[in-house]
Amino acid sequence: MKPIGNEKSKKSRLEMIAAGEKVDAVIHEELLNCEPAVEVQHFNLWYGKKQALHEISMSIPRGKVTALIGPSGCGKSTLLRSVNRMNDLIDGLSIRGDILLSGESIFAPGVDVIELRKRMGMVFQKPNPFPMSIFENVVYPLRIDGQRDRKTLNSVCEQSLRGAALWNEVHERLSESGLGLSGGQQQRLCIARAIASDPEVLLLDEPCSALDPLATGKIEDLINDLKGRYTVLIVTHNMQQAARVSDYTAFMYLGRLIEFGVTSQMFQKPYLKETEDYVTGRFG
Amino acid sequence: MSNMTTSATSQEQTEQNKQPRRRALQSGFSLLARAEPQIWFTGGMLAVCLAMVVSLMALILASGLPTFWPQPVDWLALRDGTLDAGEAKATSVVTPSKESTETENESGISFYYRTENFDLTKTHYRWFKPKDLLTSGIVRIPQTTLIERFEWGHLYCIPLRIHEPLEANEADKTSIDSFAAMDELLKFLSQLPSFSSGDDALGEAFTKGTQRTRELLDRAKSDAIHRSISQAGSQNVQVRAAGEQAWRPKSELELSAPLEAARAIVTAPEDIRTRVAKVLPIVRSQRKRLDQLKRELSRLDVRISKLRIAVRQAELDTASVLPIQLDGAHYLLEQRNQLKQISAAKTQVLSVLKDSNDAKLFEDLFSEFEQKQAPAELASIEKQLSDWRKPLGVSPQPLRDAVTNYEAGYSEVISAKQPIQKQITSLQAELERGELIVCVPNDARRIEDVSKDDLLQTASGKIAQPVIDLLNAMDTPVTEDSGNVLFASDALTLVSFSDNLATNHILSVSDKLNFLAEHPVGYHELVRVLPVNELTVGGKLSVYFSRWAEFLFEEPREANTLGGIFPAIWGTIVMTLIMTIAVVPFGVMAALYLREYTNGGTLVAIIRISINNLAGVPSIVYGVFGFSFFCMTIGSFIDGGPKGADIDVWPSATWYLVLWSTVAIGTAAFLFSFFSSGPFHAQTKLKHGLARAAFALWLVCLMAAIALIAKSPFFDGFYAAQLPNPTFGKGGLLWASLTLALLTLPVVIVATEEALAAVPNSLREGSLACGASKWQTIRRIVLPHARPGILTGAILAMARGAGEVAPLMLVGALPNAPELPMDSEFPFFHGSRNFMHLGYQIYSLGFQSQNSEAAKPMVFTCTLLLILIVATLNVAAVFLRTRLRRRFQGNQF
Repeated sequence: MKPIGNEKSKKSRLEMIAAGEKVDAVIHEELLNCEPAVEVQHFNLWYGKKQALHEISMSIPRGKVTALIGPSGCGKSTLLRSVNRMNDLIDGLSIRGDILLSGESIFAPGVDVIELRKRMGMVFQKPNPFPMSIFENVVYPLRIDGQRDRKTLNSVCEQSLRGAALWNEVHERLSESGLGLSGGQQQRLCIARAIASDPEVLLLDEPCSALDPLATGKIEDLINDLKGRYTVLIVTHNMQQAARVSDYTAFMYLGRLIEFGVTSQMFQKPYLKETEDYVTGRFG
Repeated sequence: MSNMTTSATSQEQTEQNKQPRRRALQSGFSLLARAEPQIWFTGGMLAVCLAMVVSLMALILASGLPTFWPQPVDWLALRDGTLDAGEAKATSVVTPSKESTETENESGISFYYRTENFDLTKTHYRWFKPKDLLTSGIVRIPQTTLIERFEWGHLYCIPLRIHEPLEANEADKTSIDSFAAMDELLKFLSQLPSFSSGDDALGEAFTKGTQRTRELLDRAKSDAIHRSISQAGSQNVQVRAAGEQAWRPKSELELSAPLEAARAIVTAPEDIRTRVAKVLPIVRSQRKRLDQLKRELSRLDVRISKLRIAVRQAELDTASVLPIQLDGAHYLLEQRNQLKQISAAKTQVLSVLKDSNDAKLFEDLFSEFEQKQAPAELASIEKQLSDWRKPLGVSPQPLRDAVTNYEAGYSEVISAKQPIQKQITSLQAELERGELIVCVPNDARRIEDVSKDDLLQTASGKIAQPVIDLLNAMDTPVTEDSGNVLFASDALTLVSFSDNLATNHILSVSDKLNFLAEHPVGYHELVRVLPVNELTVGGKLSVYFSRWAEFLFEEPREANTLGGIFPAIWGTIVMTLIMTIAVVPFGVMAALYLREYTNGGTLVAIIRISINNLAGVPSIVYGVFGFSFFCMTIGSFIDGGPKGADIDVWPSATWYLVLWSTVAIGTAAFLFSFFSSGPFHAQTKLKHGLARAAFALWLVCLMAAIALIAKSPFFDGFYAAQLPNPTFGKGGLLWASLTLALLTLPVVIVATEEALAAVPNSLREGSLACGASKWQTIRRIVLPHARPGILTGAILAMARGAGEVAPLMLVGALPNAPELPMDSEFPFFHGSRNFMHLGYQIYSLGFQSQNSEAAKPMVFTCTLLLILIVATLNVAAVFLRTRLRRRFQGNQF
């Protein structure tokens, strides 16, 4: 466990933030040696004049599941959406700092944002299958690349649906509308779509918040399966879920990264009292 | 203090709240328990709206649907001693007014009748006041017949008999035809210069030949009549001797005498009916054939005018002036054509004459002519033609070619026209062969001094017993002027009880009985002959539907008050479709940009408000704009280039200068926008400036491009040869469609924007997160999802456009446009043609026509039809939309 920065300070982090002081994150030792898939470097983000992210620096380990937790409005989703530059769509956005994907800056002037997004899959809070057949939903990323070969499409569709643990349930009705599936199935369909283009990083933005416990369980099992093949970054409000599925957990508060470490330690013996308070539900 | 008070009050409240609530349920009748007043209120408002809509529809249906229903025809005997007949349309109760002195006569029921017989009475409708009518003066005579005529509309009458010329056999027809042709030919030859200046021997032979031809022709005609009389057998035949006017029964004339005409007469009612039933389809097909032939003729005329335009075009192309009159050759070419037909006419006559003396006569006449005169005649014509052509020698080659083409084309057309014209003449003669003689009310004269006894005497033996009884039982009517007068009403009763034969007789025996008049109706005038008062329900239904079919699929006649309105239906549909095709892509593109690419801001708000305001501009303003912009500016530009549209052109040096600077500006604009692209967060001030500059440059570029086209000195228009007759520089289908497209643009834009706004953002994000570009997202996700909404916009636009009339008056709709704007002729779609439109038809029939009373039923029928078309388009689109929508909804539970 190696805290960085003003660890000596006796003031609580929350008080420091309230006072507008600079707060450095506590990053656990185990994380320093791992190979990062995504590196966030001194990243700041403003919506107009309002700063949403403050000096975030973290390395997301390759092939692991990293959970982002924190109270609502702490910037988890903003950070997640910065990774595949979905925030580009928002007017009045400005940034400072950088994010590297496999060592390359994603904000470099020559980066094609379309290509960048193809290297990342993203799943949203609410299932958003497209109004087309299940098959077309899954192969959508290939379609937009102009792939027309039926064989390739079929095999990718099967692989992705199997990868999303949905194949057995839907393989007989691939030509039916994706909107006809249940909520949990729809979300797994979205995961299948996200992994269809074989991305490096999978970004999950509270993927279970709109689902019932049974469907949530299935998705969690799926995330466990995906571990190792993809680098997964998941935003969640559900502590148990973070504890169950993730290898590493990052705790954010008011746009700052507070503590980032191995999940088991974060939940059982965090370095900071604030983290402990949050994971045990005493504040937040 | 206040704090204390508040706490005290709250304490009281809590204490109160601790008490169990004791409000008993109201028992008994509570109005509020049934429904809230708001429900009654809103429901009532809905009911009012519904009532208005339903009554409008009911008015249109009630006035439109019965138009074609055959109604019984009444005969009316009037107090002034005249008669009238018609279909009852309305009644109104007349109450005596206080000022009126003759109150007694005024009270009663007034009747409104459709009296028609327009060629005889000059009225279509007529009010009959109580004082006009005789007591029990309305009689429904069973054998009353309604004849729908091709011209002049309805005729209410009683058919009396049929006159039909006897049919000649084929051999006779051929000989008559060939002698007639020969006669005509000789007449033509006599006008040739070589005959007037020719030698006497030839002249003598020619006169002799002409006389002989006339004799032969007369004999052939007379022979044909004799033969056809003997063929007709026992038929009731009347004949007329040569030079006589009167017809006589064939027994009264010696059949060996030369006859001029013969006709068969049919009088028995059943025979008349069967004969008419047999004739009607023949008349219909002959009329159709006649139309076809006339259309062929007009096609030939179009060919000539095209050749003429080609000559004019060659003139323009070579910048030279035609040194001769094109029309100068017409007479020569026609003569040459006739001369070439001489030998054909000779062979025809000789084949009829076989080897008689006459054959020798004609042989001699023509051999002389063919050997000497004809070649000389032809040579002189050729010489005149070459004289006519001579000034062309200095003209450029294309112009000479065009004139040669014109010459060849003209000769071809006149030789093609001849047989068609001949067919038309014979068909018309055929159509006018027979006639139906009917009796109609003669409202111009009174009946006087015909006593009951007179009538009984003259008609004795021909009148059925019940009529005689009735006449005997009748009291002598009393009138102001005379004591012993047979009133029209009595005569009507008489007619209604006797059969046709008796009616014929009554008419023929007494000139004094002139409340009825004979009127001939030629076969060519017949469209339908209906015994309206004897029709069964099935018969009425079949008439009803056949009238609807005529209305829907045939062309109008008699100033649109009769016939069909197929061209208007077709024009409406074609115009609406073209308008939709024009407006939907524009509207959808504009809405896409507004909704998907812009990020709000003042400019966008202004644009949006302006678009919404466009919807409030009166439609006639669009008409004015369409006329001045589309027709007078763009249309004239297409017709005659900048000169046609009154635009000053640039000299070519200036034009090239502008061209190259436009290219330079365009390149700069492209580069600017290329370097200014990128996400917002990466934008520097420089990039921002670049983007603005790029936009401005694009605008300049667009303006310059428009100016380049408008001010081009190299463009002289596509239809300059037709000028001063405009092709596109006037109202037409294309401009009307575009004007309406402009009118309906706001509807489409607003509807599309709403549809786009309704597409969930999560879908866009999902697609973008998959790595789709913005356009891919729009094309694959947003547009398909918004398609039902866009279709709704298109439906609204179609409904609005189809019902719009005001702008059409200025941009191309006509009350009568014979040519369809879209037909089987290349290039199938004729955007420059005028067209007919149902809405405009309603306006012109109801408010512009000379007798709007007669057109009133048609107005409602047109309205009904227009509503039906709009409803059909709507239902089709709604159906399509539902199907699309179902695709996006899935079966969620």
